[in-house]
Formats: sequence, C-alpha cells, structure tokens
Amino acid sequence: MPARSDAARSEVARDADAALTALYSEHYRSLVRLAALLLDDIGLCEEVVQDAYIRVHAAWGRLQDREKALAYLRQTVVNLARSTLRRRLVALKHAPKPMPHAASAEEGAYALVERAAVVQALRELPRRQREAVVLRYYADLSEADAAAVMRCSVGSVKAYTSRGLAALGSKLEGLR
Amino acid sequence: MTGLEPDELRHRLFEAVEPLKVSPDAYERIRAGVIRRRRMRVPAMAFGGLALAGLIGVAYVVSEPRTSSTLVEPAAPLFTQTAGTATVRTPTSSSVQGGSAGGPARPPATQASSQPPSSVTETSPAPSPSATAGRPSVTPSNFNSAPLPTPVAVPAKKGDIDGDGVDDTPHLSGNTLTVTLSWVGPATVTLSEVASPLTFSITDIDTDGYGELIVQLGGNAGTRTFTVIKLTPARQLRQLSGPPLPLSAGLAGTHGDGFTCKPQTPGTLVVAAGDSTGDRTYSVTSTTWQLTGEGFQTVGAPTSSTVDLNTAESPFTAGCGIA
Repeated sequence: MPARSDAARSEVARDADAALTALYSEHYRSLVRLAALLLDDIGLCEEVVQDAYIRVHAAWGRLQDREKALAYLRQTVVNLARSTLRRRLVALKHAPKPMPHAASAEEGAYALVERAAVVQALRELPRRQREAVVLRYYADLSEADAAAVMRCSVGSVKAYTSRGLAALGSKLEGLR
Repeated sequence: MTGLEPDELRHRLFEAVEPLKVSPDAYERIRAGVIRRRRMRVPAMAFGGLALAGLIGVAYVVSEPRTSSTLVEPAAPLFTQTAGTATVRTPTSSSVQGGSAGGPARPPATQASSQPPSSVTETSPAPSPSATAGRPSVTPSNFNSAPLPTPVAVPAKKGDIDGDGVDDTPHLSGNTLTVTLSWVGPATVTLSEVASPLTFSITDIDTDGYGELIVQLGGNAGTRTFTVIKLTPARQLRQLSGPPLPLSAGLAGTHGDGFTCKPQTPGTLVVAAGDSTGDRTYSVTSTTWQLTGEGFQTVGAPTSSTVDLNTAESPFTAGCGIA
C-alpha cells in the first residue's frame, strides 16, 4: 500500500471535520432518540451516539462511500447499543439490588420518556425484535436497509418486525 | 395480531422520544473525543509495536532450544566399509579408496609432504558380555562415548593396545580380526585381505599410551604389505588408510621398500623406498611420518642416501617389531 502523503492526510482530516459538523447538525438529535429506543438506560444514549460520531470521524478515510455516512453512523449506533446492552446485562447480574425507595437518577425529559408505555413495552421485547421495530418504524428504514444494519436477511427482518408488532400490541393492550 | 397498526406505532414512538433534549455541549464533547482519539493513536501504535516486539521476543525465547538441553545427534560415521573394500568418507564428503592389500603401488617417499592427514577405516566393535565381565562397564549406549581408560604407561608397552599394561592378542577369523582388549572388551576389524598365519606387531607409534596394531595384509615375490590399526577414543578398532599406507617391506627386482619405528624419534615412522643403482647399491629416499590423531603426516623433508647392502643394514625390511 503506498504511503499516504501529509497533504492527503490533511485533506481527509478537513473533510472529516466538515462531515462531522454536517452530520451533527442534521442527525444528532434523531440518532439520540433512536438510541433511546434501543437502550434500556436513556442516560447512556447520548454517550453512545457521541462515541459513534467519534468512531465514524476516525474511520472517515476508510469509508468506501461517503454518501452513506449516515448509514455508517446509524450502523455504529446500533452496534454500540448492542454492546452497551450486553455490558449492562453482565453488570446487572453482579450488581446489588437497589433500595426500594431509591430516587431515580433521571429527571425531566428522561423521566417522561421512561414513563411512556411504548418505551416500557419495547424494553420487554427481545433485542432483535426491538431493533427491527425501531429501525422500521422510527428510523423509517426499508426492510433491506434494516437488514443491512442488523446484518441479517430481509426475511429475518420481516419475521422480527411481525413478531415485534404482535408482541407490542399485546403489551400495550395490557398496559391500558 | 392486535389492533396496533404501523402508523400508530410510528406515531407513538415519535411521541415517546419527543421530550428528549440533547445536551448543549454535545458537539464540544464529540470534538474533544476526536482530538483525544487522535492523540492516542500514536501512543497506541507505539504500544502495539512494543507489544508485538515483546511477543516476538517471548516466542523466540520459548522456541529456542536451551543449550543445556540440546540433544546433540551423533555425527554420521565418517567411515563405512563395503564388500571388502574400505570406503573412506572424509569430513568433506570426498571418498577415497584405501587399504587394498597387495596393491603394487605405494606412494613415493617424496609425495607426502603435501598430503592431507591420512584417513582411517572403521569397523564395529563386537562387545561380548562374557568377555567384559569384571571390566569397566561398556554398554551399547555408552560404548562409543565412554572415554578410554587412562593408559598406565606412555608410550604403551609393546603388545598393549588399550593402555592397561597387559598384552592384547589378536585372533583371525577369515578376514576379521578380533582383539580381546583387557579394559574395553573385544573389538573387531574386517580387512580386505590378511596374511595367514597372522603376522602382527603392537607398537605405540604415536606415543599416546595406546598401542597400534601393525598387521601383514599379504605378500609376493619378496615384498610384504602391512596396514596399521588404531584403537580410537570411541573404543573401536580402525584401519588407517592414506599415505604411507599400506606399508611395504622387501625387495622386488630393483626396487625396495621398508619401514621402521626409530626409538630415538618416538611417535614417528620412517618409510624408506629405494631403487637399485648398481650391484646391491640403492638410492634410498627416507620419509618420516608422524601419526597424529587418526592419520599420518610427514615430518620434515625426505632425505636421500645411497645404501650399499653389502656393507650397511638393509632399510628394506619391516620394522616396528614385525618379525
């Protein structure tokens, strides 16, 4: 592989900085909300999305199609959300039980989101079904795009979505 | 399926996360993360390089055989014997034919100053448990590695091959010579030709405390040929080869050969070769050979003289104790 010149490296860095700013302005808020639907802890959603931005910026020179920067960013958010969920599951197994009257750490907007019935119902879905439902009906991705993000087949996305919708309907019906 | 329609779900999802606000310093946090990651790249790469180098070093140390535990394979035998002809493989893998008994040609006395050390022909020992009883233990595993016992006298007493001061007597069976050595047990050597009855002498030519066995190989028309057999540190009898072997002694026509071990120059063998220049007068060239290690090397330059057999002792005889 030929060595990349300093000028070329500077050009890539400037390009990455500009793309980072544009992606932040246009998509940061929606990605945080996407992460909030995927994660169990809304307090972590901003950290996950910020980490995704930093990673995409670092990999900017290796992106094959920069027009798909948003897709890369969304993919990274989903992957980080999965990792965070796995880490939280392990931590929860070993964490002491919380006190019954312990005050919630989150207030304000976070509390509102936590109290939403659909969010509570989503959190009871299996991870794959939750991802399929959120990507299809919040991120408004096609089945093919959702399959690409989830790294599974379109048929699997259809199945996860169908089961997720059915389960959500039942849960929301029960919460009423 | 319940009554939850996709549009309704979409609406409820948007409505649920609508109150979520982003941190006002989110962009600064991302920028700080980018700078922090950029700074960490060089140390991370350096650390990765060091870690890789360390792994390579550890792998080398683990895979390198320790000197103390290195298994040293025994070297391939330098000498092999095939079908009655001793084939000699020198350390440089060159092969020479040696030790042909009765061969008419022997190297001229003036040839040897540039000759390499003589090579030897090796034969396997034939240990016999009964014969080694009461002697130092010589097992198949240590037979070739155990050093020879320290000789009791230097030079060795005539008739003593293994340096214990006791005579060792060779026995002939076909062309195989067996010597029951007092200290190290029986050893055999197979020769291409041996004169019968066995004519031999045991003399410490190289004055190392272990006697060399000089055996007559054959003879014709007044000339006899001899070879020299040496006990090696590996407790094997080896037939030496290369100049000046085989030794010749006697007169054949106008040419005469002889050899002798001179007590005044211990460790050497003087080989004489002469041609008649008149009635019982010979021009004789004498070459002194020294047995070092496992081969003969010339010592000094050959000397020439005229010998009148009518008045002087004949140099064309077999010396070194040969009758």
